[in-house]
Amino acid sequence: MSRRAATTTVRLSAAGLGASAPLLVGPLIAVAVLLYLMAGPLAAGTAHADGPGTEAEEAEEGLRLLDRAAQAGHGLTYSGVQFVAAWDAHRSSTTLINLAHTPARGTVMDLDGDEAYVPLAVAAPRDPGLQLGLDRSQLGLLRGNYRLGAEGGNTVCGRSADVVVARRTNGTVAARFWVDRDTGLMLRREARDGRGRITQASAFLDLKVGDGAERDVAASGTAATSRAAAPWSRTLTAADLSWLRRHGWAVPGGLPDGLRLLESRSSGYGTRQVVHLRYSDGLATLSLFVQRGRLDTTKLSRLLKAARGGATVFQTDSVQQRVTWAARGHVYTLLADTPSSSVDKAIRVLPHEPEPGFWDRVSRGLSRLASWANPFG
Amino acid sequence: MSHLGERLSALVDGELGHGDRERALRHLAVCEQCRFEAEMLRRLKRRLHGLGGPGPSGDLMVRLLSMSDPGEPLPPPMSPFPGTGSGSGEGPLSSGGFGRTSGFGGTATAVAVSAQTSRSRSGLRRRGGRYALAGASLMALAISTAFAVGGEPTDGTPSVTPSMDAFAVEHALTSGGVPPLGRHEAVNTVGSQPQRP
Repeated sequence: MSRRAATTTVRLSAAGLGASAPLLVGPLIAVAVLLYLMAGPLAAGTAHADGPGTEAEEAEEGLRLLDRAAQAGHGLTYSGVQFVAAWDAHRSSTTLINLAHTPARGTVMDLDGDEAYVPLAVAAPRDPGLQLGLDRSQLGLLRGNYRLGAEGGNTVCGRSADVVVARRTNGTVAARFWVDRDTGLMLRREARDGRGRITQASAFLDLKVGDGAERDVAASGTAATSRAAAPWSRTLTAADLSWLRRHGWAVPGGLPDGLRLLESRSSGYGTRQVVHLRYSDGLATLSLFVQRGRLDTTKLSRLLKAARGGATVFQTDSVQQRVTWAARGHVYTLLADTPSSSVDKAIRVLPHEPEPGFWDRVSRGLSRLASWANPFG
Repeated sequence: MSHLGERLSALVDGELGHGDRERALRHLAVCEQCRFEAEMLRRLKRRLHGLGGPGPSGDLMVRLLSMSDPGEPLPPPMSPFPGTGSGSGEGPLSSGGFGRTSGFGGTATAVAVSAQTSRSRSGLRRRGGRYALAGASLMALAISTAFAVGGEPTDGTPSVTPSMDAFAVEHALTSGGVPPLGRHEAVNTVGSQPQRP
């Protein structure tokens, strides 16, 4: 698979650029992605008249298509190359992923980009091989928080696709999905902010389905040659969450901007236990990691100190939101593909404490000294 | 008629015998001048009684305190007269000096005592400054110690460094994103039978 993926990459980045090619791959990919994205909405818009009739019918049709996409990986063997891109107000990141999927084995991914991490579209964590797809558990939220509709047909990778649009209550487009008419596979996805700017996009640039993909799947890495990665295996029940809340853990059932707790997992035991809470509004995903302890700021050299949501936090300078802070004996770490305003609101409703000032620290020190000197303490 | 003279003071002090006292009183009955002097002596005696016992003078106390002043040697004595006061033993604080200054007469003594009082007050101010400096130093030491001790809670709370990269992998795997792996590193995303990373 790597050999074929390399060929695809060269083709996209204008073969024959010589030694300077690696430096130009990123910008060329970004330009190609933008041109690719510009063509989609226009074609989708022209095809709108071909879609179903009433708004309710469009919503049902859109939901049916997305539900089909969420299950497509269960019985499908495919391989291909995806691009994944993300933007924020100051940065962007683009990468290519070579993948080969079988229902039995899952998806083997080989990253071939300059960025180590690029957020992808919302996909199904427990449904094998649903890159660019949707978790079925999110469909209810998606339908509740957005107005779904069908926008007719379009073409992706030479394959006919149905276009599903998710609009906010104010009518602006929040996301579009391109679902393969033949297989139901999600071929392309894009998310836009409230001002119409694309914030995330991903699509197949090359796709083989069925017999054509078998050879790539056979050439791809196996469980023996590639590192297995899977979500934390220990899922938390409602009783577990109640126990955590009774013992001082902040486990909110929801966060601002319509984010609802979809699932919770745990790793480690005792003082090393980390709880992962995944929130979503149907499109964007926010992960909150909570663990007992105080933040060791001496080992956060890669993070930047900032004030957000009324708290002093440490965050990365990246497209993806990565924020950590400590309060009331717990350390909170947020990873989100949501807008920064949603992260600020989440921090505001989660436990946080103002950074202790000089005299606060002196007062705490005096109290500690007094407790040491007190023979009855 | 002779006046009482020195016997008047003995009368006021009650030191006369019975006969002399009777004679003195008969004289006071007819002599207005002696009666006036006796009255003045009685008033003076009452006033002296009202003053109470004598205490050490303020200047003496200042000098005594100055002698207990620790630290550096005493400053050279200052003479109220040019060319007389720079040598050892010339000042009032040196051995025998206190008496010597009286040899210059009352004015010289007053000036010397005044200069000594001024030095004593200056010493007090310096000593007060040292006390203030020592207090400030102690305060700064206490605050800095408290600041250092009050840094981080040590109530058994473990120190945590979030595993940001591991969290990013977990987030990507549960949200359908791309795990942040190194370039060309392959990942096998296991589906329905997830394994611990």
